[in-house]
Amino acid sequence: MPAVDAAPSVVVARPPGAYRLSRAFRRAATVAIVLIVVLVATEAYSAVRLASSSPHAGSLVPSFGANDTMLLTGSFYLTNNGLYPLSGLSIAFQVHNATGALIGSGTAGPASAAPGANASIAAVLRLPVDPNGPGATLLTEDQTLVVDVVGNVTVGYLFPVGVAADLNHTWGAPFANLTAAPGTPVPAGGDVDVPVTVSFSDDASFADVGTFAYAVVPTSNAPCANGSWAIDVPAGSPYEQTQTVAVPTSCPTTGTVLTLAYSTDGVTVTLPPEAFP
Amino acid sequence: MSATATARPLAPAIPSLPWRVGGACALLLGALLFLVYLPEAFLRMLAEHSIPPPLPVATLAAAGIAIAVLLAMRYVAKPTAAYGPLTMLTALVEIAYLLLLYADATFRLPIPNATISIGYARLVELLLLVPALTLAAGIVTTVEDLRTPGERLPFDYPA
Repeated sequence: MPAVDAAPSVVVARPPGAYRLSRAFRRAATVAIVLIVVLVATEAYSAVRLASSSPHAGSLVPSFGANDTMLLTGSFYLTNNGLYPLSGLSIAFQVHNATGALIGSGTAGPASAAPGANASIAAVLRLPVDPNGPGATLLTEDQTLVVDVVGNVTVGYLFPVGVAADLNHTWGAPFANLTAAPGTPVPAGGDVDVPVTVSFSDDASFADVGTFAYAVVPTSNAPCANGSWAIDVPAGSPYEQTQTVAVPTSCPTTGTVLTLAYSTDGVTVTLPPEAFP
Repeated sequence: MSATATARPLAPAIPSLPWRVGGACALLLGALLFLVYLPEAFLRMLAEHSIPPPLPVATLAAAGIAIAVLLAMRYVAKPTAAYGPLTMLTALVEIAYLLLLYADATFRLPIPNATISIGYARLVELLLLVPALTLAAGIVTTVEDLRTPGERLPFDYPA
């Protein structure tokens, strides 16, 4: 086959180095803006998918946690059906009573969730209920607590999202309206028998199953008498029992109080003292 | 007979000034759409949902108009030595605008009993990369125009 003459070609001179460098910067800027637009669009899509998956929180469950401490435990659930991982998923709580006094706090997380994964984080709020603290009324008074919740999560890489909310929590006291009413003392040998009627309502969501310990304490803080009895009060039930307290006649008659403590599963909470005649 | 390859710079085919001004007007309209009209519409939508805007509308409009006008001027001045400095100036204004956004890069959405906040500082940080690269390109072009005026024209405006 005969050779075909090719037309003379023109090779464009190579652009100078400065021009090529400038062009590289401009092209890099264009690529960057395109990638950013794609990233923003896909992360926004992921955030919308996440929001539509209805993240939700379980109800807060009260319990006795440690000596003079109650707990509120709950969980937060979400399904990450977006394209990017969720990171830094955390929740912080503060619990205030009706007067605004801070009575406890807690945190949950941080946790993360890969695309397509379910995530749940457990929250434990510690509420001190010692008799001298603002949380003491949690044992004996039903009330509405205000739970300040601050949640944080980062969807993908660009957009950290925070949620701050005030939630009302209806608190049912485990020993609501507790009273220890002394009756008429009756001499008995060297002692005086005092009938004490203890009554309350278990308005909590759990049963009061444990031991009530009492002590008759004068101003000297050396107990004159003490004792205990078992109780088993279903949730939502009233309780009333009369106990006979044998008090030595040597026990001072003024300034003496009757202290009560409730013990269950190795945990003891001190109840507010009652005046004792 | 074999083909002959010759290396020679192309003569620049620089559009006339009226053509460049026409192109700049089109660029200006597009830039105003993306830098002023759409952001303003977005802020209006936020205001309708009681979401405070991160910037006053007037600031956003002023910055958008300034950048759009600079982009148009740069387009007209591309065959001249003013192109590099105008590129640098445009990039600096864009950087200042993004830093203004960066100062409080959070949307706060009030909803009943709660507030949702969405931060976009990382997005602004990424976006800063774009004018930074443009600034670098402007610096290089300015130096190139000072050292060898007209050298880039055959490549910016190939025949």
